[in-house]
Amino acid sequence: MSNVFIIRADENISFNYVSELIKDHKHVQIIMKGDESKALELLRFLTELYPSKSITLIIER
Amino acid sequence: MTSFDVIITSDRTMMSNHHGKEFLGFAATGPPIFMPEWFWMWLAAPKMKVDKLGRPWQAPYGLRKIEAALQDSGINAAIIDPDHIKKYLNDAKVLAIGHHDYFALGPPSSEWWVLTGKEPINARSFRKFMEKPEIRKAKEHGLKIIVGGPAAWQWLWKPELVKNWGIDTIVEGESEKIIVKLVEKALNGEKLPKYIHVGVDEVPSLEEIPLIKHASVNGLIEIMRGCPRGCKFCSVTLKPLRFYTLDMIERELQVNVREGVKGCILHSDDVLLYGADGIKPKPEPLIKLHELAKKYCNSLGWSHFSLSAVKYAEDNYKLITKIAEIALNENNYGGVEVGIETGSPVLARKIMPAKAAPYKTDEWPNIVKDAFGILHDARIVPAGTLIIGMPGETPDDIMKTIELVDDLKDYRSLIVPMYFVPMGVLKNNEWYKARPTEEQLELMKACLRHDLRWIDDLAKWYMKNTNIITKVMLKILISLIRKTASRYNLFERMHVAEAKEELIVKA
Repeated sequence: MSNVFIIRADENISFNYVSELIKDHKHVQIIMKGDESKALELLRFLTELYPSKSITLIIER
Repeated sequence: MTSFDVIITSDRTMMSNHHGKEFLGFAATGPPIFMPEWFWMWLAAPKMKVDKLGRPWQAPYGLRKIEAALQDSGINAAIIDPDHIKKYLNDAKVLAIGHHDYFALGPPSSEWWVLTGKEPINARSFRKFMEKPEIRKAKEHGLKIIVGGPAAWQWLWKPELVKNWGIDTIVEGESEKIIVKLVEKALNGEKLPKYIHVGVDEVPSLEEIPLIKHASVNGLIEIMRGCPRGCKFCSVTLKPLRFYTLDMIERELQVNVREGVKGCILHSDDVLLYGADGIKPKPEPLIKLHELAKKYCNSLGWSHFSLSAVKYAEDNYKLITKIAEIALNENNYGGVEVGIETGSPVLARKIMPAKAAPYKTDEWPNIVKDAFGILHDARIVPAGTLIIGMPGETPDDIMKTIELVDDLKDYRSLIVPMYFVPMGVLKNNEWYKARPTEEQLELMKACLRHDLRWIDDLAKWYMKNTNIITKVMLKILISLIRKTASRYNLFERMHVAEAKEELIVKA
């Protein structure tokens, strides 16, 4: 997969900020530290907003 | 002893052929009524015949695709019946699970949950499956669990279960292309992503879609993917259109026939758009498709038609009559699911602006009536779904839908209201305690009246070749529903105009 836009974040990151950052990218990888349920909530938000994008979430401990 | 690196499976409500009657599978989306849970389970989802290794005779088509993708890549994977996974979990490295409705959050399960206040059996059965001691034990020894399928999105609403059950990766979307890399990572002990959302650029091309290697439930096979209509409540519309070639379809038909499955269900979100010119059905590809399928199958059914395509195909080419002649045996009916969704052109314009195409959305109620008439004459029984509770729906929209249901009373069919649960509501753990409005309840009653009008005729046809116990139990169930409906005066028909007036006064 080419041109993957990678974001490193922690659980305090603003959902709107992430959505703004990824809006022009088709393939996104989010590497997130901290609370897993918060990360899944972020993914709920992003996939509803951008149902056509490829998004991968990696949890870092 | 035989072992598998990857076990692909699901719970019993998925791993069943529902007595060879696909429609009976819908009973698994409800809670048990008038009978104990174990009996309801048997009625909706009896155990599947397995071979000596515990591999099911028939398995869900989606799981068969994953099995094929992994086996084509040389990975030692197999679908195993949920009752037989124990003997493999000590050696397996990956457990891959798929489901249509893991937690009963999708329609119609969510609707039965709201109406009865009881958790449907699909969710109960899945929870029991996940809490099997052998899975917990294997997890402690390093088993990786990957979940996917059409209900993968539901895991995002259940973070506590993702944690408690040790789900390693959730895959949402068409996964044939990415599953191999993901499983290879798991087999190599590499770190797995928690969640993968397969975007439109990553869906497999036609050439990348593997063909099933073993029989699918009730002979269901896919003929195309995607839908161009763009309805707001449907995710299929985001996928690019891909038509299987007749050669691909024939090879999957041969797999099912070879393994003893005599019937066939042609699956797509609109079978009539196979080989179509945009949203206009074309005779040649459809006739060739049906002739091919009939060559291999005793009985032939369809998963979905769109009603505007039914009207267009018949009005222009007499095509519904022709395909019914090819598909249906003498004196028999065929079944298909169709989306009515609403009887209100105003709501239709908001939520499904292209559903009526090539006709105008304002004509939607007439398109539905015409299409039901065409299907009735062709001996095809539509199971029509309605969506109630869509954002923006007004009492007037519901009244229009009640009028439409009333207009359909003379057409042999079932009409099923689907209660739309907005995603945001799912945040609340007690979401199912939400009550339908009076107008929505009135519509549900109208559907029940319609269905009870036709149910005896349909049950006689549908249950013709099933075992005696199922036949008797369904007869008793229908009679109990009829009695209950009678006790609560559900047959007392209010004149539509009066009902409208009364509801407006209440509003």
